[in-house]
This record gives sequence, structure tokens and C-alpha cells, in this order.
Amino acid sequence: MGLKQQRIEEHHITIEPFYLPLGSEIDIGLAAYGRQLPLLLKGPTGCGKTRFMHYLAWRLKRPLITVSCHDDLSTSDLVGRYLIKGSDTIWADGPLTRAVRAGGICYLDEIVEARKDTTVVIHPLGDDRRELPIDKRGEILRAPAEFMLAVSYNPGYQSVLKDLKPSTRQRFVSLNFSYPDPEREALIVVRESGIDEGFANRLVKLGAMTRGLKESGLPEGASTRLLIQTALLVQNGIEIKKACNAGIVQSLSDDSDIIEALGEMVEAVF
Amino acid sequence: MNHQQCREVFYRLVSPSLPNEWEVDDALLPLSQLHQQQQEMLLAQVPVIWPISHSLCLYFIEYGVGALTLLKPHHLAPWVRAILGAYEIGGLHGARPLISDVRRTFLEPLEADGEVSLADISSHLSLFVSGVAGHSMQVAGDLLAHTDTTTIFLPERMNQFSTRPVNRLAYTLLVVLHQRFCAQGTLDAQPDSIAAGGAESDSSRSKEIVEPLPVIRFFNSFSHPVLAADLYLLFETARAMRWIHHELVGLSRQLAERSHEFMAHFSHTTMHTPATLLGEAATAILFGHQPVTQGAIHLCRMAATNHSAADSITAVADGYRLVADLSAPYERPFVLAFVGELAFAKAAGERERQRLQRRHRFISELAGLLARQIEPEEKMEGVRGRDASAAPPLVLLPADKEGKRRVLSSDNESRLLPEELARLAAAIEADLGSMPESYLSAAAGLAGGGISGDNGQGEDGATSERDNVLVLDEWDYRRSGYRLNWCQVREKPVESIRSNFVAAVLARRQAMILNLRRQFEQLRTDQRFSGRQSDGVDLDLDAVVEARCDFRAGISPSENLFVRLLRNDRDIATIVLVDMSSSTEGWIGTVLKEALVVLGEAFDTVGDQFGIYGFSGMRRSRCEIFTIKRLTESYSEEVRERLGAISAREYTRLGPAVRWAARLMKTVEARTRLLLILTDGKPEDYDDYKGEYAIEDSRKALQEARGDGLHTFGITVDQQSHDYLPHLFGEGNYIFVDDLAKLPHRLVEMYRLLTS
Ligand SMILES: Nc1ncnc2c1ncn2[C@@H]1O[C@H](COP(=O)(O)OP(=O)(O)O)[C@@H](O)[C@H]1O
Ligand SMILES: [Mg+2]
Repeated sequence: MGLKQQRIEEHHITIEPFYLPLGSEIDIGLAAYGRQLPLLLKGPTGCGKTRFMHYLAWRLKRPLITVSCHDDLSTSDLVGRYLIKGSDTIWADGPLTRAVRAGGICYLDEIVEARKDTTVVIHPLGDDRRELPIDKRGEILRAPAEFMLAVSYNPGYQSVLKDLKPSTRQRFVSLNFSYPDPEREALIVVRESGIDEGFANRLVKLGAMTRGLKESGLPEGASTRLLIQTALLVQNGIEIKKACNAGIVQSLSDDSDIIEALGEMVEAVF
Repeated sequence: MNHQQCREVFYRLVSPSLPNEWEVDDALLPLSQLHQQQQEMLLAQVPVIWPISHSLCLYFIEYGVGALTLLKPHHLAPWVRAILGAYEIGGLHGARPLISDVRRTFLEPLEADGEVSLADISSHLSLFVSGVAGHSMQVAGDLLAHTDTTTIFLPERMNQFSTRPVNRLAYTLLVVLHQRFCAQGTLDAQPDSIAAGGAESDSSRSKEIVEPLPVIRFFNSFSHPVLAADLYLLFETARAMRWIHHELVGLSRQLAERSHEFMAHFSHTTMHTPATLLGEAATAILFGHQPVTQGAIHLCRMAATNHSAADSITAVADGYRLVADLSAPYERPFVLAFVGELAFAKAAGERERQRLQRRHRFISELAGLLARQIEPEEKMEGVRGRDASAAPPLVLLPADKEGKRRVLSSDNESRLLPEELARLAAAIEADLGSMPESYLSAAAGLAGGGISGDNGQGEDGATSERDNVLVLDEWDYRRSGYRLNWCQVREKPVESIRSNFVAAVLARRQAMILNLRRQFEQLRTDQRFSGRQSDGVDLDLDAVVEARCDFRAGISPSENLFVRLLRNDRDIATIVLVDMSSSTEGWIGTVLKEALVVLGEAFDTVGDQFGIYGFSGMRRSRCEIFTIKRLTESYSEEVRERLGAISAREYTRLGPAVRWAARLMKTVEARTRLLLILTDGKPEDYDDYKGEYAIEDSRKALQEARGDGLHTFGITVDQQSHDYLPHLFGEGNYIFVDDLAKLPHRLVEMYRLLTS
């Protein structure tokens, strides 16, 4: 488990990320930061949560440390551990600890994927104690005012209601993300890929159609991210329908009926 | 095969039926003249057709011989499907021509005209149109294209156009057109209020449907009602086509490319009748052909300026004036018949049906929410008058900033609506304009709890909802398709009976249960350490010592020096489906119940979520699920009493029970979800749910369940045969218990193996 120790400055975002606000999320995010409140971002994959965090970190000029959560993530993975190098033991801070020390923003992506016994470490950080106990070193870190905790989850495929205890949930300021409206989604696709607007509009139309199959066997339709990727393929000279097939149709499903239906949608839109 | 051999094969195929020898002999006579291979081809269809109709099957064997020389192997399945389809619609009489005159009735349409059949494409066409609509829609066959707003009906076959791609495209066009008719309000036209010049009034919408609908009355006020309706259809088609040109550019382009091929079919005459004028205008609108006749040009211009269903209704009178003075009897032009018809009454009926369904669901779910003895979320201060007697019993509050909805009861306690229920409320408000008071009071009444105010109106809805009918599709392997909305499944409670059955079992099986408790407790301690990891919660001393030694010895030491705590939280939910058919009579009362009692102890020890449900019933209209222990309920004394009260009922329609359980499982959150099925034999119902049909449907239902991420496992005590088991459950997904006395032990053992 080679834990790469990146220097914290490398997490500083120096160039303004493109983020198109869809509501008052920026204001709320800034206000939450000012009040030292943790953030909970919810929404389907690829709808801009990560991008929003990048933007927020840039606005606040704080380093952003992102951890993608998964089953095997342990408390040590977050907080830190002793490592043995040759014949010495050395302590290595985990990403959460580094973020606290540096007064950065720690973003736990897809928090429900982590086990409950792992996520308990964020509890004292999430409430007004704002502290991180490092049991192995008998140390308690107090988070500086600049530190912010943010978590995300996707309510679509796993309800978090049971996983994040209501008492925990209620400490977070929640921002609800969903796919942008067609005009703005097209704008994002244009900005991110450089394709022309007419084409972006049609891609967005196709995306919306795939999202209509929610009850028919395709729980998650094409995300904004997939649309952008498809547009990039087209920018690289791939023929439109082939790009849609590779970038959207095949990425969404393995079911032959659904693939055929998605193919027909491509035919109808382009 | 000679005649005698053919006969033997035939009797074997239809057994246990014993048809008359003379009938069979006649039917088999031509068959014995054929090559072995052809004989086999025909005979292979016998098991498919025989269960549907014996006479159809005999006719098929006798006269199908002639067809064999014409058909290619890949035609066989669609041909048989067509025969069965025709039989279902027109009986023996309807099916015969397909067998006796296969060239004209089957092959010519298929090959010469590049025919496309709906059955071949309906599954993905419905997905396609769901995407276009943005919500789920169905596709089904009927004579003329039309829609009731949830299902789009299309002709079973498309063969009017000369090539396959064009026929295929015609289906796409029709399905999109009719989806648009739903989406653009074509079917909601309210000419009365429009004629009155006012805005649409809400009162007319919530009124009961009286016949005929205002829009039908409106068309009837013309001397040629069909012409008036066709004018409206024409104008609305124009609106839909404009949308297609704008939104579905690909489809629009394909239509343009194929325009001449469509046009070739809808030829024009020089006669000027209303029908030809409408036909010309319609082809112009659909396929972009330039109208030449003055009347048609006018109609197209009129069509171009309509922007709502109300506009189109208003334009009908003008259009009618324009064309109808060419007085001639009106017969629908081909091209409009191709577009289909607007089924206003059907759509209104469907809307009403959905409205009722929403009402039932809302009332029963809200009542459930109110009845649950949860702590009210918060006290709301002074939101309405505190005077409970003056306030309505329940108030549905508008969405708050976060989009959450709450209901406020007369004692000022508010409860948060779960998302599902909030969505339902929003749908009701969108449909009716606001939440009817009667829905809320019915829910309050149903929940009891002293919140009165039920005006009796909700009673019917509540009771019929209480027995919870779920309508499910069933798989028909013969046509490789689902029979839609085929089975009705109801959930029924099992009355608990006070008895000492459970206590007696617990006493008798004491030793076994003790042993089992120990085993299952071990499963419960769900952590284990694993050493020599590159990182972990603690040092692995052995490894550290070894590494030091290595280091001293000048060998580069291992860095895998940790123990890691591997946790396997048992996050398991299990549903046990118990066959309660009459065939279980002998053993259900004893061994089966005993096995369930023992299993219940195991579940209870290990702390897994579990539910026990029995299933039985008779015919597709009465599939029943008997609730013995709900998934969410604790393993209480009452549950144990219900276990004691299980008894044999009627038949075994396995498919719907599995689908029902799979649905229930969808609402359950657990990493591992297991469906255990306990049966004593093949699935079978009173009607034609037997043999292969029953096995194939059950197998399909199990496949669907696995597709939903469930694990399925069958435990059977079928004494007669079990050769069908691997096919039904899948290799390795079942066990067979031959000694009934061992069932309790095997069942528990199996559960332990499956979940550890
Ligand atoms: N509001 C937005 N502004 C700018 N880009 C966006 C926006 N929403 C989505 N995107 C684009 O979609 C991509 C996927 O979004 P991302 O933030 O990674 O999704 P997730 O919600 O899964 O974290 C981003 O890389 C970005 O290109
Ligand atoms: Mg992300």
C-alpha cells in the first residue's frame, strides 16, 4: 500500500477551475466555510460535485485533499500510521491529518462506500469540537479555522440514510446536486470539450433521453461527464455515432435490449 | 420414422394426455412420408402447441407438412409464434390459414415486403420511447396505432412499405408521434371550456368521466365527426412533426432520406375529396413532400400556426369549412389510418385509473406513516390555528427550502414525508391542482390513532389497498415474451394460533438448537485478524521478530509486519418463500414447520434480517402471499405462533411469488440479499401453469431476481423427480433433501454454508 506522500502545496489549486453555478451552492459553500461548518454534497455521479469542490478550494485559496472512499479504507488510511523503513519506524500522516494540520479542505468522495467504523473518525471533526484524535500517537489535533470537511454521496444507488447516522447528517450543511438543465449542461459540454453548440445541444438531448430509462432497467443515465467524454472523442475526429456508441451506449449497459434502444436514440438524435 | 414410430414419439411428447388414436393417426399420416429431419422439426413444436390447443396441434401436424418445404429453418420459431398469436386472437379459425397457406399468409408478407413484426422489436422500442418520454412507457400490439398514455399500441406487423428499413423506420415514427400526442396535450383537449372562451377550469378536470367526453361531443357536432377528428389529428401531427424536426434531428433526417419510399406508398389521385385533401396534407406534413392542391396547401398553412391542442381544436372548424364543402362521403385516407387514431376515452380511463391508484397508494402509505409509533419529528409552533376542532385533521405543508414535505396533524405534530411519498403527493397535486382534503382525512381515519375526520369516502380505497394487489408480468417461453400484467398477487396475513407447537419443537430439538446456536454465534463474531500485511492495526510480532532476525543476519527484512483486522459485517437479509400448496399437506404440518422453527432460531442467534412468507393460490388472478414473518418485524412470540399456524392451501405458482419477493427485496438495504425457496415439487397451478411453461416462467423469475442482485437458492423435497432442478434453479443453486426427517438440519446447515 504505497502511500504517496504528496507535499501539501501541491494540492493548492492555482488556476481557476471552470465551474458553472446551478443555484446558490457557491454562496452556501462559502458561508459554511466562514462558519466552520462541514459540507455534504449529494447527487448522482458525474454531475459536478468534485468540480465544485475544486472551485471552492480555489476561491478559498486552501489546499484540497480528496480521498475516494471504498470498502477497505481503514481509519489508518485516513489518519496515518507507522511505517517501517529499513530498520526504523516512522510516522506518516494520513490525508485527513495532513488536511487538518495544513488548514486545508478534506473531501471524502462517496463516503457511504467506506465502512461505518472508519467514518467515525470524522465525527468529532464534524461537530463544534473540530478535533481529530490520533490514538496511536496519543495526540489530539485541533482543526484550525481554515480547515473544512466535505463529504459526498450518491443517493441513487445506495441510500445513506441508514449509513450516516441522523445525528451525523444533521451536522452537515447539505447541497443537493443534480444534472444541470439542458441549456447549462450544453454550455458545460461546450466549455469542457470545445465542440460547437449545436452538437452539444444534441448530446445533452441524448443524455436526457438515457436518463428516462430509470425505471426501465437503467438506474443511472449518462452523466455530464460521459457527455463531455463523448464530445472529446468527436473533437478528436471520431465519427459522431461511433463516439456515442463508445462514449455513452456501451458505457451505460451490457443489456442487449438497452444497448439497442440507446443505439436507436443515437440514430434519432444525430 | 414410419407411421408407428411417429405415433410413439407423438404420444410420448403429449403424455400424460392420451388423445384418440383415430384422430392422431389421421394427423400423423402425411408426416410419415417425410424425411426424418423434417419429421423432427415438426414434432419438436408439439410440446409448444399441444398445451395451448390440442386441435390446433393436430391440425399443425397434419397440414404443417406442406409448409416445411417452403420454410427455412430460421423461419420456424417466428412462424410458430405467429400461429400461436393468431390462435389467441382468432381461435382455430384464425390460425389455420397460417398453417395451410404458409406462402401467402406468412412468407410473402415476410420476405417480399420486408416485413417487420412488432414482437421482434417491441422490447427495445419501448425502451427507446421511454427515453424519449423521460419516463417508463410500454409498447403493445393492436390494429391501429393509438395510445392510452402509458402504453403505445402499434400494428403487429409493418409491411406496407417496400423495404425492411422503411418499415422499421415507420415504427419509430409512429411510436414517437404517439408519445408526442401524450406529451403535447393532444389527448387532453377540452373543447368545451375553449368554446366558452374561458381558461381551462379545474372543476371540469376533477369531475367523474361522463360519456361522451367533451372532445368527442365536439367532433360529434360536425356532420362528419370522423373528418373533424382527422383534421384535429392532422394538426396535432403537424405539431409533433415540428418537434421531431427540432429535437430529433437524426430521425428527421432519416425520414427525409426515405421520403420518396414513403411517398411511393401513399399515392395521390387527382380527385378532390376531403379524404384526398387531408391525405395530401398529411403526407406533406409527415414526409416533407410539397402539396400542390390548393386545399391541401391551405390545410398545411393552417397546421403550421397551431401551437397548442387548443389552437388545433379551434382550427378544426376552419379546416372543416375549407374541405367539407366538397360534399362527399368521408373515408379516412390511408396515411391518416397509418398514423392511427386518438383514443381519448381510453386515455381518460387510464388517467382515471392512475388517479385512483395514486389515491390508494397515497392514503395507505400516509396512513402507515401516521400509524407508526414514531416520535413526531418536531413540534411545530403556531403554524395554523391551535384550535384542533376548527382545523382540518391533517394539513400537507408545501415544500420547505430543502424540498422536504411534511404533514401537520391537528395536534400540531409534523411528520416528514419520505421521498417516495412526497413525490406521490406532488404527482397528485400536479394532476388535480391541489391535494384533495378527502385524501388526507381518509389517511387520518385509516391510521386511527384518534385523528378523526374520515368522511367515509376513503374507506373503499383503503380496504382494497390493504390487501395490496401487485400486478405482475409472466414469462411465456413459447413466444419468448412476457404476458403483460398477467398475475395478481395479494399479500395476506396468517392468523396466529395459540399452540404449543413451537415450544414442543424447541424442547424436542434442544440438543440440535444448542449446537446451532453455538455455530451461528461464531458467525456473529465477525472479525478476524490476518497477519503479515503491509499495514494494519497492530504489529505482527512473529513477523517483526523474524524481520529483526533477518536484518541481523544481513538479509533484507520483510516489510509486511502488520496484522490487519478484517471485518465482515454480516449484512445479510433473507426471505424464505415457503410452498404452501396442497401437495405439502403431509409434511407442512410437521417437518416443514419444524424446519422453519429451527431456522428461525438460527436467524435470531446470528442477528440477520429475515422474513418468512408462504405462497399459494389458484389461477393467475389469485396468487397469494401469506405473511408469516415480515422482514422488518422482530422474531416475536406472535411470529412463532404464526409459524405454528402454517397450513397447506392450494396450488404452486412459483414465478409470481419469486417476483413479489424480489420486489420486496428491492426495498431492503443489505449487502447480501438471499432468497431461499422451499418447495416439494414442480411449480404448478390450476390453469395452464404447468410443465415446461411453469418451469420456464419460474426460471425466468429467478433469473430476474438474480439480475436484481439477489442470491437465490432452492431447497426441495420433491420425492418424484428432480431432473428439472438444475434447469430451474441453476447448477449449484439448490439442494434436494430426500430424507424428510433431515430437513431441519439440512436447511440450517445450508443457510450457514451460504452465508459464511
Ligand atoms: N456545474 C459544472 N460546471 C462545470 N463543469 C461541470 C459542472 N458539472 C459537471 N461538470 C463537468 O462534469 C465533469 C464531471 O463532474 P464531477 O465533478 O467529476 O462529478 P462528480 O459529481 O461525480 O464528482 C466535470 O469534470 C466537469 O467537466
Ligand atoms: Mg467525483
